[in-house]
Amino acid sequence: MTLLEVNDLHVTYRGSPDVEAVRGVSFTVEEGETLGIVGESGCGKTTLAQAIMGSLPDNGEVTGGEILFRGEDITHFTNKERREIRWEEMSMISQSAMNSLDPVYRVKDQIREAIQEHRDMSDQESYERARELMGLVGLDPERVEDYPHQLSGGMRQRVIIAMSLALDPDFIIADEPTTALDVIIQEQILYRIKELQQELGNSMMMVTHDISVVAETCDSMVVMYGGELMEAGNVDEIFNSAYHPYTLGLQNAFPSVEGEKRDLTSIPGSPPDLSEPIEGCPFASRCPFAAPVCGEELPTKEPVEGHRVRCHEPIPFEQIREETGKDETWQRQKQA
Amino acid sequence: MTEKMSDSDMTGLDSELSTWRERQVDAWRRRIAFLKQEPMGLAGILILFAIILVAVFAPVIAPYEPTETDYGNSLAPPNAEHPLGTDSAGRDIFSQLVYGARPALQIGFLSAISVAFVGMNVGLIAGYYGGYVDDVLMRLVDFAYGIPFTPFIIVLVALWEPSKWTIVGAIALLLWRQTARVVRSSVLNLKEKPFVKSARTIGASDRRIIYRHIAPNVLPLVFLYGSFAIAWAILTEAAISYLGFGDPTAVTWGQMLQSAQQSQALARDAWWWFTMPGMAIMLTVISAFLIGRGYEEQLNPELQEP
Amino acid sequence: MATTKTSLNWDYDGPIMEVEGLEKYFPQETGIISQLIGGETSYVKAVDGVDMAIESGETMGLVGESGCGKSTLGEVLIGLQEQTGGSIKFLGTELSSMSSEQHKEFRRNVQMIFQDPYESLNPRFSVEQWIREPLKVHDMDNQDERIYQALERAELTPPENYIGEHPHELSGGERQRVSIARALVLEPKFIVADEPVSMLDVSVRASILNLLRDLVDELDMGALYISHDLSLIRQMCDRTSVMYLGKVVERGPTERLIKEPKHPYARALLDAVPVPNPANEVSEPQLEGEPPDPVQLPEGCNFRPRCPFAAEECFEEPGLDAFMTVDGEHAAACWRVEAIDEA
Repeated sequence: MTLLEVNDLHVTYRGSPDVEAVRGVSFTVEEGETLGIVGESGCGKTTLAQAIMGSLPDNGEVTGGEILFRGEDITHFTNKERREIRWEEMSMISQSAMNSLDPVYRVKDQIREAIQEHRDMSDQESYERARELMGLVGLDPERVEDYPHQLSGGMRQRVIIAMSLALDPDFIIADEPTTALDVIIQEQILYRIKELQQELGNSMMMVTHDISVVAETCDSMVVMYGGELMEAGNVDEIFNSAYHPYTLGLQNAFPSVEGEKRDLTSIPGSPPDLSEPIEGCPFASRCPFAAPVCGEELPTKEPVEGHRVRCHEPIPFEQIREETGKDETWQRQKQA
Repeated sequence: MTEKMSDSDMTGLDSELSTWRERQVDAWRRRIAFLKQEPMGLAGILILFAIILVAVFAPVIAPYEPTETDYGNSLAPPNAEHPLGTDSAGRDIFSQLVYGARPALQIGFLSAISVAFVGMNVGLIAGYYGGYVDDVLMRLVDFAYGIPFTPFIIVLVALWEPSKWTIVGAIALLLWRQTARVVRSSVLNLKEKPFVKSARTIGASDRRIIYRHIAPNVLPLVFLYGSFAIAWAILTEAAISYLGFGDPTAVTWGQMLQSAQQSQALARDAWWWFTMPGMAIMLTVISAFLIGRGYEEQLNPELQEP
Repeated sequence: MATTKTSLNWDYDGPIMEVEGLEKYFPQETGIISQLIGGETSYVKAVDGVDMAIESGETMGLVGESGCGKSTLGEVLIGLQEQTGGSIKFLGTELSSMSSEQHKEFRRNVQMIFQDPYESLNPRFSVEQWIREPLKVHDMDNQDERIYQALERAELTPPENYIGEHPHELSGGERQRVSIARALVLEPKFIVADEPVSMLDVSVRASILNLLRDLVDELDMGALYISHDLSLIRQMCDRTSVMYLGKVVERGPTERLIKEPKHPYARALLDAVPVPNPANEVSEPQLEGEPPDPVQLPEGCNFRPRCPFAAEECFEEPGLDAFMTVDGEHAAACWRVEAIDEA
């Protein structure tokens, strides 16, 4: 069953000037699936997550498209309507979440508040549930008594994860949930999240710049650039045979401890200015294969079923794949 | 691939100079635009500027000599000849007001500069060196805080002489304390920044680090407290003169208040004699506060939103 | 105008940077009560007896998680912080006993690149002023030429476009290049890079890393790379040291260390590093919990309480030579390496 469906979503931040951060993104998330949204800073992925969650800042606005949650159009839900689904059906772990715990309340009180806002549970019952949740994320249940400052960053992040699971939501959005954490804690948390997912059957959307995390935790993925979707499909497929030059460039830019040591390639240039309208492909100015046709509106190709690529294919995809592996290809673009 | 400097590179440096000038103009444009952003601060600047003009052009603006007596015309309410009336000796209030702007601004700015200079340096040195130096300097600050301001000035007036310089001196001796504290805490923060560490890594001397790297970044803060100091200085002069510890021969707003009080202006319904200097003081002080408060958020790093 | 007289021994044939038993302790602030009662001051032992030797032309990686002391080690090494104990030798001369002339030369030849491109440039300096400063401090000649050369080396071309810029006009990657230009304008012989790319976008990282690697090669410098990211260290470094709670627990040639880690902490670290390979699922973590309070260090081996392989012998503190390969290149501070290998 399709839990979440996003169709041609556009999100703009009002200001002088207006900034269109999401420019027509479509994808789905099935029940029990984990979708990874990958991109660098400024690609629109956090805005996308916030739009879905309904937690856009005041000047953020959905200016096109729709978001369907379990078939219901939640795109323009009011705050009140959002509050009803928040925590209970859809919850979010945001990037600086570990800093969003209120320092003057004990952990147990904060979890309890999240629960009692939605469920008619007695104090005792929600206290029990809080302890249960702490155990679920691998924390000592006794520590519900602590204040946030008594816990380390990694522990606080786990508390946030516990809170996001408190009401057993069907859909969890995680925005860079482990970016600020050390690699061993990161492994612990990611593992726990996957375990819980198996147990509880929820779906997840993992927003991150780290493709390694996506590789290890996600079933399908979306690559974003300049507010648009560049490539989407099954994780295995995209890693083993990507089509889009940006995806390929990105993969080559990540060093790995596995396998043979290889040279890294970098993508010269910088992301586009989203306060300006962009004709055609947002990546064209940095793409070594860009041709005049890339100034025209992007098509959606599906070379393999379920694997979407948005690219004019100025040279055949096989050739793109071959050339992107070489650093000269990218350096050539820098001179241009 | 490196190239040797050729003649074309020299031209590059020359054109660099003219672009440097352009950049200075551009920097000033940006500063002015920044100042314009904050209406409160802008209002303060304009008022202060007007007062400065009045002080500078006092001889042109004032219709009479401020000390010129005219006993036949004493305590005249505002009229055509004396727009703000006269005092008990027939002296024109308006002229006194205009000339009074001079010492007010002199005291104000001199005090501000000394507060800024002393406070900034104490804060810089205490903050940067820490340890023993910091302890000693901060004890000094605490000591300065312990001394009540007005009694101190009165004592100084008794020791020296009742003149505006005594006031400036007193302010310079005591009021730097707040600037020092604030600068020190800013320095403690700046000291840990990577660009300061970078300066140490390349082997820059302490003096260079303090004055070329740290000081420019605390200047906005110093400017802020300096502008508050202007206000305090003027108020202090008024208070001291009013209490009778000022220089009786000087034409200052505070002295005007003192004379008015001595001659029982209130009882004699000569409202123009004391409300005018009072308003002048208020206006000047408000303008200084407006400037300080208006730009405080932009200039004080601690107040900025994370 | 300075002459190029040197006061350090450039004919020294030992390692360019050598550290023995280096210690950096931070006293913990004790409350009034404890001070009155008169207990011992407790210390955070950020660096607790580290040995390291880096040859000229070699890059050494220093990897560890937050709190392990790696950044502190970097700062103590270049003299930004004073060591509490142990020895630091540059070209065979002890840092703490250098004359001011020698110290000046040390400063000219040892540089650092910092992590945060948004805080490592003075916002009030233009690029030109920022790169000129080291030259001014050391009274070098041909300053304009050197500045242009440094900018070109840092791939900020054409240099004219950059000299007048101020930091807020530059991107993160550009700022980092300016930092590199400044660090290199003196043509140092040793460089420390503390997380040089962690705050940059992924697509920019590779170019900065490649640049650093090329420059280190070209100028034949010794280098110390500090990072929590093992994948990055693997990319850049000939040898690597792994740090845990102030001590180096394993050291060796990078490829060997990565393929066959010996110390349980290094093993756990390598297991936990995510890899861009979908065939790799997140595996069950080898370690639970977090590093202990650095003020209350455990008895014996620092890692013992968390170690899945701990045994009786681990109550005796192992040195880095507890395990060593025959060629002496690969060493681990663990008594149980062979036992673990066999399991």
